[in-house]
Amino acid sequence: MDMMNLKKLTDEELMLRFQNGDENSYSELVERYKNKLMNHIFYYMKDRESAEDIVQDTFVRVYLNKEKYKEIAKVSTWIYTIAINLAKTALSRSGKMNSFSITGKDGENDYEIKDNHSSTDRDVLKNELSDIIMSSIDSLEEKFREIVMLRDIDEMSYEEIAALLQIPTGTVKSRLNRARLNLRDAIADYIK
Amino acid sequence: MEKCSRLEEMIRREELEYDVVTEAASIEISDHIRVCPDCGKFVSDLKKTSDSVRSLLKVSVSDSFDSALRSRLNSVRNKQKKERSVATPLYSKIFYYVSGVAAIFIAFFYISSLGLFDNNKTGTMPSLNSEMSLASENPVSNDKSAIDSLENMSKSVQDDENLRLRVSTGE
Repeated sequence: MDMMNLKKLTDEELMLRFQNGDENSYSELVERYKNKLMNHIFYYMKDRESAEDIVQDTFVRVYLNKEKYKEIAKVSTWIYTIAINLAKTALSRSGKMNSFSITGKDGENDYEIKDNHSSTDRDVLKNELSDIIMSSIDSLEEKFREIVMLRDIDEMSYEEIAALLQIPTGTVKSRLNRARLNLRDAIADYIK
Repeated sequence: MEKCSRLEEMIRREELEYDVVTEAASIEISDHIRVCPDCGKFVSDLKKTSDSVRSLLKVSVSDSFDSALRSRLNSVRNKQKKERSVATPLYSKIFYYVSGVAAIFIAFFYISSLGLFDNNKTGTMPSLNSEMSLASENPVSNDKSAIDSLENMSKSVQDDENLRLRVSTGE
């Protein structure tokens, strides 16, 4: 099957094909998840290099442990669980686990802004807003921070988040509302 | 007039198990939201907050990500291959050792079953041994043939002696 047709398959179908030896299916999974994972893990690791290392480690583990994946779980949940565990292990090894911050090393903004066709003034405002949003996310309790990241940054479904965090879908939604409420208070002046 | 915070309070208490941004129409107080400007604005603010988070934060992998991953996978594959090649001779050795021991046992039992090592058992080897055992089974006929042979030998010696005497006497 060529790469074009692989794009039509679900993650679980790709994983099954990969388990049967099709390495193109593995490449397609990497393509689907590399940026999503990078985006998510960056906020754990705080710098690109470490985050990219973790993402690569994740895909190497997926490659090595393909037989361990069972169809009862979603592929996305499995991959995110591997990545988050690796990130948490790396952070606890480096002693940074309790000083989680998403504002980048030494306050540097190591992230991209989607809207790149705006005027300079708007850029400045956007950078300022992004700083505030990021530090606001950073200051959230972990149970709220994780959910707002998974939903609004990684764009995962409620069900995927519930499976990943092993909490009911209703709890995901109630915490998400609460996280956004806290963020709204922080950026109220910018969203009027 | 006091500002309405009915929806906000529910959210602070984490009572609302719906996403207000995407499922406002489903929640129990959806009728209230439609007519309450404060709660309507509150939902709108949460939506803007969510949109701000979605639009501002994106980090992608570097351009070298794919090639770096490929090289890591190649080294993993090579390592696996090396481990397999190191492991194979060990398995082979065990296999050969077990096979050798098994072969020795089979050969021993086979030979034992033929009676080669049993002195009391006779008549099973179809070779020189069988002739020997057949001979030992019939000692009378053996003795008789031996006596005949000895008689023939002494007769032959006697004939030679007579011939020698005749020559010496000039007959």
